[in-house]
Amino acid sequence: MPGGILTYYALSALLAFIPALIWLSVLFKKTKKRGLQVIIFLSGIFSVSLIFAMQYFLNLFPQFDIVNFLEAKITDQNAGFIILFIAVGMTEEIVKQAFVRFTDRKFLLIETINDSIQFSLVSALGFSFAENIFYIYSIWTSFGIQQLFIAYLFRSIFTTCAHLIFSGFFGYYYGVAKFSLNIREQSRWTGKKHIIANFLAKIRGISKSQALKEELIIMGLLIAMDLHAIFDFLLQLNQILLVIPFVLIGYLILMHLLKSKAGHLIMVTDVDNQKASTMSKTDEEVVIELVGMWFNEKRYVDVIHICERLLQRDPDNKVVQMFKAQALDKMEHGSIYSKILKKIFPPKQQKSLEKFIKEKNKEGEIQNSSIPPKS
Amino acid sequence: MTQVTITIEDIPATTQGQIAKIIKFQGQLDESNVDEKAKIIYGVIEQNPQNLYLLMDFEDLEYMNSKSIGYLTDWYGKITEGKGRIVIAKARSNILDILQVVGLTQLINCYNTLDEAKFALLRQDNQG
Repeated sequence: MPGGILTYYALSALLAFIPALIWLSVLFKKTKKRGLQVIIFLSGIFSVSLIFAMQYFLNLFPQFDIVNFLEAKITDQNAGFIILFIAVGMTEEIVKQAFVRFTDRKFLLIETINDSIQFSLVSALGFSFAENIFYIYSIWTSFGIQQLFIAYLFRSIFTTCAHLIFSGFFGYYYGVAKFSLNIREQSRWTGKKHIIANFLAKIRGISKSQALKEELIIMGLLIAMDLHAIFDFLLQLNQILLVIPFVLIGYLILMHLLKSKAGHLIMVTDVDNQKASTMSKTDEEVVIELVGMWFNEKRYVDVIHICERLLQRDPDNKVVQMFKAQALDKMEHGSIYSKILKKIFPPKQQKSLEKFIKEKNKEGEIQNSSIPPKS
Repeated sequence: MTQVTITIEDIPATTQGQIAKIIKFQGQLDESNVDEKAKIIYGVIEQNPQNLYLLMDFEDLEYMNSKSIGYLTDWYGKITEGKGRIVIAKARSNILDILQVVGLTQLINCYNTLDEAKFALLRQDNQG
């Protein structure tokens, strides 16, 4: 081809950009932060160069290559691949997420859990776009354009989607970790114990909130890295029939996370503009404790109504906002699965407070209608 | 352990078959005593499953925890299922505040005086 290597790279970049653009438009139809998305996308592209730099360094100084060292000790080929893919997964996920975290610290990028997921997805798209350029170039120049088509389709859809899934999960956990103070406060009312975080806090001498934050980030990294390793391993074994449902299920879970109301809550608090509660702290705590109790008992309708009344008195209470959002999520997202489950396991009908209120109002209407009008 | 005293008195009923009682709470209902004291009310409800009319005197009730509010909701459910009625009298402002936010004041009428509460408790349903 005239123009040589540069032409191939330019055309590869153009081909790689098409799926990236499609994914961006599918995922982010409505967004107010396009400028920031472009910056994060570019940082995702740049992060690939860090991977190459690391590989170059390890080629120059193989004594630092721990993965090669471990692989040399292991005789089983599959075990060797697992170690390699775990290392690759860990490195790539940390690098993809690094710029999101850096930008967040500098510019307070992330205000909601969904922001964290979305910016992580954009970073993953940038990374995947850059990776695809090299793969497309490599396949095209090595095997010709006929072999490129299937590989291009597969990478554009499944591999790119896989990168989104890995980074999406890591982004979700980073988002939750960022707001660990509110999460911890809510756990106080639901009775949820953060055993690992409490243990970490004790041995490291840090606050429990900080420990919970670290626990969540590590959990996010472990999940992302393991999913990445599983995906690469399945590809290595040519198990395409397993890869496809793996990616589909991951995508569905990611979309489920993005649609949750709790994810849309603005968790960043402007302390100066925060409205004071019109209820005393002790009384409010009694009500929130009740909300926590009923949330655990799955009385979501009651939780929602009490939270609405409580938010009229204390509109900036993040814990109450979280309870309301999560109760709404439980009621909505249960719809498909709960229909099936309810047929198999019919739930015990527990009368809710709101049901009582509706019945009482109905009784009042009937009584009023039965009283003859005064002449 | 905080203290709470519950005293139960019968009220002369105005209708045949009605069983009316005043239950006076004095002290604080919290985690240390609520489960034990709730059994007393459940006992009254079990002994009188139909047409039970309860007036809860909250004048000297200083504090209610979330569990006691949960119990109150349950008592309301059981009493109304048995065609009975429950009212609250002389609750302190903080308790009224909690009951209003929880939504219980839409179910259980609250009165400032014992006489008003008794009248509301024992009135016939078709009276104004």
